[in-house]
Amino acid sequence: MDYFLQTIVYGLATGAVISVAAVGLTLSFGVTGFINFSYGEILTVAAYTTYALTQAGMALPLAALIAIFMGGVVTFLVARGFFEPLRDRGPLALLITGVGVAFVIQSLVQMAFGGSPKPFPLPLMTPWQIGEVYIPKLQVIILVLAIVCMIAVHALLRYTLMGRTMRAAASNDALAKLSGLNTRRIIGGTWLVSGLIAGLGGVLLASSQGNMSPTLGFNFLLVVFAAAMLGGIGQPYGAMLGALVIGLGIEFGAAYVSADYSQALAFGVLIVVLLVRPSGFLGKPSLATAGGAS
Amino acid sequence: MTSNKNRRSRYTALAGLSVSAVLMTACSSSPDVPGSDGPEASSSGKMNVGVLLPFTGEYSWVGENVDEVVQMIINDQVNPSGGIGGQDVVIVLGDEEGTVDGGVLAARKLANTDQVLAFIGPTSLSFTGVRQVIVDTKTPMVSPAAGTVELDSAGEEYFHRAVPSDSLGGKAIAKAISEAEELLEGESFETVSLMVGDAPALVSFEEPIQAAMEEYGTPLAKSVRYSVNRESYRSEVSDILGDDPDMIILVGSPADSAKVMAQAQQNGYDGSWFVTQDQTNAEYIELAGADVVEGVYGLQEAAPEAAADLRETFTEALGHDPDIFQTNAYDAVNLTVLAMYLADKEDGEVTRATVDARLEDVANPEDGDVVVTSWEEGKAAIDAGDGIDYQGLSGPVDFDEFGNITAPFDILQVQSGEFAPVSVIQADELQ
Amino acid sequence: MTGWLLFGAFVLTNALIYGILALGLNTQYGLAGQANFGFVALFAAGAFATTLAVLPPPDSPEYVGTYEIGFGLPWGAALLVAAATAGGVALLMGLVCLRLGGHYLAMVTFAMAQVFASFLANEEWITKGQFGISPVPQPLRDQVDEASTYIYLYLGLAAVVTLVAYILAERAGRSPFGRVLRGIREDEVAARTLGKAAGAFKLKAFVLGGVLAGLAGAVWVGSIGAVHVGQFIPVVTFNVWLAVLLGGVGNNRGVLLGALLLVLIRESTRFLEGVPFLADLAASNASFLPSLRYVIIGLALILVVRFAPQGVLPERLRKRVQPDLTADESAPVEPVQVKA
Repeated sequence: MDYFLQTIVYGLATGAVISVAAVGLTLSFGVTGFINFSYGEILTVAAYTTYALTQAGMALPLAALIAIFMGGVVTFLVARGFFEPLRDRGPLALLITGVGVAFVIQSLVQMAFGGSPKPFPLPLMTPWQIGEVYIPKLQVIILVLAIVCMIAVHALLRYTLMGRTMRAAASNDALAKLSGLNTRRIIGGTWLVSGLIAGLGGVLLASSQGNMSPTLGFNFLLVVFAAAMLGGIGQPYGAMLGALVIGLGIEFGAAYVSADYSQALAFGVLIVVLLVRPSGFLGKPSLATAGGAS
Repeated sequence: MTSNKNRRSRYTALAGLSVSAVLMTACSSSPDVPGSDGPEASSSGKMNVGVLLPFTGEYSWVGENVDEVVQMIINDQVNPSGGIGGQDVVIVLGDEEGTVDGGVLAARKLANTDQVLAFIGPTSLSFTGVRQVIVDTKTPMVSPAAGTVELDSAGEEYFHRAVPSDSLGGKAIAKAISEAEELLEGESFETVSLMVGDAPALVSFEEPIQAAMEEYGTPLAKSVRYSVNRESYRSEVSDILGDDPDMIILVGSPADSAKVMAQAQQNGYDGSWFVTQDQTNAEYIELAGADVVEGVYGLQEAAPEAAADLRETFTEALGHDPDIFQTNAYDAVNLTVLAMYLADKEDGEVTRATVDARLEDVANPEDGDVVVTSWEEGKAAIDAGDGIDYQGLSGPVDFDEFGNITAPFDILQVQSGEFAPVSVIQADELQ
Repeated sequence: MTGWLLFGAFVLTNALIYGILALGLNTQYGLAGQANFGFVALFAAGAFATTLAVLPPPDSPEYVGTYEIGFGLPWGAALLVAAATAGGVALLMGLVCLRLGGHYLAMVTFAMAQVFASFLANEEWITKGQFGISPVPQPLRDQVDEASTYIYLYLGLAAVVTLVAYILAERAGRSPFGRVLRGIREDEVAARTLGKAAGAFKLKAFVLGGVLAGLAGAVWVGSIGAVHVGQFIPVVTFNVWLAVLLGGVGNNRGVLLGALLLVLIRESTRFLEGVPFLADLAASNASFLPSLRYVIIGLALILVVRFAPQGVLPERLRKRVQPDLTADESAPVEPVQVKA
C-alpha cells in the first residue's frame, strides 16, 4: 500500500515539473496554432542563464528571475524574427522553422558552455515524511508554482482584455483583424507570456533534476507536448491535468511494469485518450479532428 | 500559379545552397597527391590522425574531454619537437553525433577524404556501424572510451583500446564488494542490487557484474535497467530500495547517476554505492554534490609503478583534475603517435598497415625494451635505437591478440569530498 | 581523389536511402494528406525485418556471434520481407489512427513510434537492444574483392531499388487511385461524400508509404552491414520531413531532390574545418565547429523554408491545386486553371 501511495506521490511530482512547461506550451500552441519545436530550447536557455549568473556570484532567486525574463525575451525575439514572417505559410513551414531554430539555439548553448553536464545550484532538501511515504519538498513547491501559473494563465485568458483578444485571434484571425484588433500585438504578447512560463519551467526542471546539459529542453519536449495535447490545446487547466496524468503514467510504468517501458506506458495512455477523445480532456471538439484538415 | 518571382527565388535558394555546399568541400584541404585508401595509403604524405567521437548530441562531452588531451599532446609536445616524418601531425575531428549514421559517415569521411592513419575512438555506441568501415578501410583504431564487450573479440587486426573491457571492470566491482572485508576496509554487504542505464556504453556492465557476483557468492538481490536521460528516477529508486539493499552498484552517465543518488538519498537510502570509471572523478563529485557522494566507492585503472607520478604530472599539464576518459585518451594518443614515429623510423613509411603493426610493438614489452610513459621519453628512446614498452595512466597498457588491455584497478572512496585510494585489485586476480 | 569519390559514393547512397524514405512519406502526406510523425517506426521495421531475414541461422556454418534468430534468406527475398513487414506495421498504425487528422494524427503517430522504439530497445532477443547486431551479411559482397569497389557496386544496387520505389510511387500518384486521393485531400466535402471508402483509400496509401519505408530500411542495413536501435530516433523522422518539404510536397522527383539536398547540406558541413579562419577558432574549443555545423544546418533550414516554401519542385499537376498547408491563406482564391 505504501508503495502504491509513494508511486502516486512521485507521479504527481513528475507531473508537476511537466505542468509548468505544458501550460506555457498550450498557451502558445493554442493561440498561434503550430507545433513549436524550439520551445524546449527556451527551457534550456533559462536553466543555463541561472547557472551562469550564479557562477558569477549572483544569488539564486535573482538569477532565476532574470532567467525567466530571458525566456520571455528570447521567445519574443525568435517569434518576431522567424515565426511571424511565415505566419501565413501554414503549420508545416513553421514546424520546420522551429526545428531549425532549435538546432541553432541548442548549438549556441553548447558552444558557450560545452557539453558536460552542469550542476544546478540548489542544495538538496530533505523530504517530508508521512508514515513510510516520502514527499519531496521541491516538487511540492513546483506543484504550487504550477498551479499559480495555471490559474494566472486561465485568468489572463478569461478575464483580461488581452486574454479575450488572444482567444479571439486564436479562433478566427481574419475576423479578429476585421474587428480592429491588432492581432500582431496580441500574438507578440502571447509569445512573451508563453516564453516567461517556459523560462520558469526550465529553471524548475533543472532544479528538479539537479543538473543540466544542452539537450535539457529538447529531451523534455516530448512529454510536455504529450501533456498539452492530452489536456486539450489551449486549455491551461487541461495542460496541468494532462501533465499529472503523464507523470502518473510514467511513474506507475516504472514502478509496476518495467523501468524501460515507463515512457512507453505514458505514451500508450496518450494514444488511447486521443483516440477516444481527440481534442484531449478539456479541449473542444472541432473540425481539426476530422481527417485531413488541421 | 507559381509566379516567376516564386520560381526565381526558389532556384536562387537551391543554387545558393548548392554553391555553398560545393565551396565548403572545395575549400577544405585536399590531398596533393592522389592516393587510394588501401594499406598503401601513406595519406599522400600527410600525418593525419582522426578523432572519431561524438561532439554534438547527448555525449558531446566525450569528444570534448578527449580532444583536450589530443590537442595538448599533439600541439604542445609532438609538433613542437619536430612532428613525425618531418611533418606536423594534423588532428581531424569526425563527429559521430551519437547516432549510427553519423558515426559511419564521420568514419568514412575521415578514412576516405582525410586519409587518416588511425582513429582515436570510436565510442561503444557507434562501434556497431563503424566496425565495418574499419575493416573495409583497414584503419587501425585506438579507443579511449569504448568499454563495450563487443570489442572483446572483434578481430585481431585494427582494433585496440586504452580502456579495459567492461567485463573486467564489472568483475572488479563484484570482487571488491564480495571481498569487502579485505578490499573495502572491513565492510560487509549482504544485500546488493544493481542499476544499469539502457545505453550502449552502459549495458556491457550488466552481465559481467551479475555473473561475477554469482560466482563470488553474493548473488544480486535485484537488477534494474532504467531509461537514460529522464528527469526523475524516483520510482526506479523506490523499486530498488524495496529490498533494503546495503549496497547499490550504479552504472550510468554522470548526469543520470547524480539524479539517482540524490533521489535515493531523499528516499531515505543510507547504504553504500559503487560506481564505474565514468563517475570516479572530481567532476562527478562537483556535479552530484559532495554531501550526496560522501562514502561512494569507485573504480579506476591503476597506473603502474613506472608511472607513479604520472598522474600528478598529467594533472598539472591539464590544469585541472582529469575528467572522464582523459587518462585513457592520454594513453591512446601516445600509443598512436609513438607507433607512427616508430613506423617512420623502422619501416621508412607511415601507413595504416605499418601503424597497425607498430601499435603492438610500442605497447607490449619485449626483451630490451625501455619503459616509457610519455611522448618525449618514447621519442628519445626510439631515436636512440631502443625498443619501447609504453606504460601509462591506464596501466601497463599491453594489448592481447584482440587489442584489449588489462589493468590493475584502484578502488577509491569519496572521503571528505575527494576520491581517496582504498585498495588495489591486480589484473591477474580477475582472470 | 579516389578517396573523395568513395566518400561521395557513400554519401550518395545515404541520400538515396533518405530519398526512398521521402518517397514513402510523400505518398502518405503529399498524396493522401496524412501527416505521419512516426515515420521512423516503419524504417525501423524494414531494417530489422531485413536483418532477421538475412542473418544466417544458428545452425549454419556461417553463423557468427550469440544472436539466436536468422533465416539465411537471399537479399532479394529480404527486400520483400522488409517491404511486407513495414507495410504491415503501417497497416496497424493506419487502422488505429487514420480517422484523426492534423495535429492529433501527428502526435499519435509520434507517440506510436516512441512506443515501438521502446519495444525494439527492450526486446533484446529480437534486436539485441543497445548492443546492436553486427556484422550483417551485405548483398553480393562476396562477388567483389575490394571493399572500395563494393561501395560503388552498392551505390548501383541502391539506385536500382530507388528506381523501383520511384516507379511505385509515381504509378500510385498518377493512377486513378492517386487522383481520388488528391481529391480527398483537397476537398472535405468530397471526402465525406465518399464516406468509408475515403478511409480505405487513405489506408492503402499509408500502407504503400510503409512499404517504401521498408525498402529504405533494407537498403540502409545493407549499406552499413549492421543494425542498432539507436538509429531509429525521432530526428530521423524530422530529416525525412525536411527532405519532403525542401523538395516539394507532392512531387516525387522533388522529394528525391530534397533528400539529396538535405544530405548534401548535412555532410558538406563536415568540411568546415577546411575553411581557413575557422580552423584556428576550433583548436581552442572542441565544441565549436561541430556546434557551428548545426547552427549552419539550422539556418539553412530556416532560409530554405523562408525563400522556397513550396520546395524546389512543387507539385506539378494537370489542374492547379496546391496542398493546403503551404498555400497563402490570406490571398484571394484563384479560379482553377487547366494546364494543357
